[in-house]
Amino acid sequence: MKHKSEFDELISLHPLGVLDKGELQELEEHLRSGCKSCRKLQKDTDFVLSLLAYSLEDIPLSPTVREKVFFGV
Amino acid sequence: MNGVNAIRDNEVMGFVEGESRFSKQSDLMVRVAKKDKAAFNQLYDRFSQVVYNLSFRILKDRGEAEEIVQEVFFQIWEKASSYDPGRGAESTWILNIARSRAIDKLRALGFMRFNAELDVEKINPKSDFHRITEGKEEKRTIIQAALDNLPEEQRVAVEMAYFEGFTHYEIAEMLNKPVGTIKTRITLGVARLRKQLVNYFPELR
Repeated sequence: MKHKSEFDELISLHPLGVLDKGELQELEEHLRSGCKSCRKLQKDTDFVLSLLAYSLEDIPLSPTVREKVFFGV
Repeated sequence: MNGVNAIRDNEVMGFVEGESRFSKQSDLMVRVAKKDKAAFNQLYDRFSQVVYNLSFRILKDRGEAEEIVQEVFFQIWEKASSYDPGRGAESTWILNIARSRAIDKLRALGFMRFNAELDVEKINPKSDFHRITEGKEEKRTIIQAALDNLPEEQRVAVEMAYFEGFTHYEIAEMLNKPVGTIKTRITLGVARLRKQLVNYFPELR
């Protein structure tokens, strides 16, 4: 499957959850077609965006949250 | 260390190149899927703070952000078996859940329009409250430096989309720019972040 750079924008927007139905369908079809470059780009984009959370300063998290979580599981 | 120069300085020092310094792929998710509470405890230690930081950044409310932390970890406990390491790092999976839930809650609470003007003002200064960490933690410094190294218009577009949950259409309207311009700014911004961070994170190679 030949890589098409026209999907780069859709891949960048995909993890942000902002693609409309048509765009999402177009991208998913292309990914299913087996374009390894786009799959790698998608994985990298997901990862890069998730790293942004690590740029934030720590806000003290109450220990009661842990208690509630572990009480609930 | 000056945040803007952090990446360059670290590269000169050469102490991160080629190593999985910040990567903590593990078997924790596999163990959590088998209802191993000790593993779940470790996972909570590893990710609860960043999940909370992200949720608070999006929602700007401690109580709401604490609820997101609980919801995220309940979901991890119930759905760990659906995590596929072939599709990405466990941190990506967890933070995607957190961001998605926080954005959903933000929209449900109707904060989007209310906060719009304030948020744009808050994003622009590089010294904003959420991004002051000089010299405290290497990983944070490196990622902040990568963000700071983006052209201003790309950084603003990426942060508005990721942290504020605005669509490219909403950002275009708020900044009075064509939608295509905002798409391009986000795409170029993400590509540039990747290029800057690739030496620090083996997941990007």
